[in-house]
Amino acid sequence: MTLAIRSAAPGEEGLVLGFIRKLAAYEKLLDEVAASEEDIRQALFAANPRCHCELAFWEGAPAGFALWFYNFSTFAGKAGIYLEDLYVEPDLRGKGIGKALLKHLAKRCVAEGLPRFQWSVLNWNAPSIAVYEAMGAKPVDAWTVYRLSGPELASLARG
Amino acid sequence: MITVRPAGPGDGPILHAMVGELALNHGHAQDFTARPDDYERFLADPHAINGALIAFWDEAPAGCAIWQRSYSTFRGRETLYLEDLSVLEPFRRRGVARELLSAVARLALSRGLGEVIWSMMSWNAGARRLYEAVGARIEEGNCLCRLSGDALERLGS
Repeated sequence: MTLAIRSAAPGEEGLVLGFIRKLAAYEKLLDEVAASEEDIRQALFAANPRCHCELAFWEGAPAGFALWFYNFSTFAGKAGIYLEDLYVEPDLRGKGIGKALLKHLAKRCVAEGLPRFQWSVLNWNAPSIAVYEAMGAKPVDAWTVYRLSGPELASLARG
Repeated sequence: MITVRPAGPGDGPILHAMVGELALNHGHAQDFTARPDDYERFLADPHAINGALIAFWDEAPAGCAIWQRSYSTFRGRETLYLEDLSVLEPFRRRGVARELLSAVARLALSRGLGEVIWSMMSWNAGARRLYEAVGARIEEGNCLCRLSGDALERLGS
């Protein structure tokens, strides 16, 4: 019964993309996944990578992942961590692997002096929300998220 | 009358004042602990993950947009996240926010990014009208979670 967490290494982009696709399927958004292994390799392993990825292994087998990047709080004047993806294999849930991944990143925040650790959750995902609230995370109330893309983005850019 | 330019070294105090007003207007004055130097650091860093645009009404600073590089694993590419959009009180209702949004959209496209994302307080009806007028759509069902302060220290210990 051993859990190990370490950063993803070059060559593991296929494993990471597999987790991304499984997470998307769980969120019923698989048809939105357009990322390729090459995209993930660039994001994680290029010089000055934009993203970072922690992998969890249960008894040596890949069990889940946390993919994150640094952001910046203009109110705090400091960097923070934004957790983009968190996923644990269904047959390995309930063993504390998700919480261990969150704790791993919380430790990084504390070690690096980052005051804010944020992520998003779909509001129907009650099991995850229960875990997050149990550890003291607070929903940031009353925020509405907007997205602008495609023809609307191009139209606004034209003024 | 409205011009928009990228912020650069030396613009930290202006940006700091504008974001401070935004924090005050949103009832978050107590969370606004940033100092102008915190802004100068990213303005001076060519590899910073964030940056800013400043709008001027004639010669007067009127508003700003502070953005950061974000990433979508589903899309496999970067997106642009608009962290703050602030227009100073005397310059409101003159189209400054729309000019800033338009400049942000141009910035995204010039960086090859196909998407701009931002958040707003749900009660901000004026902002909502503008965002819907420019074609933004609301991401339904997303709840933002934050871990900070004692809870972060506890989990990270």
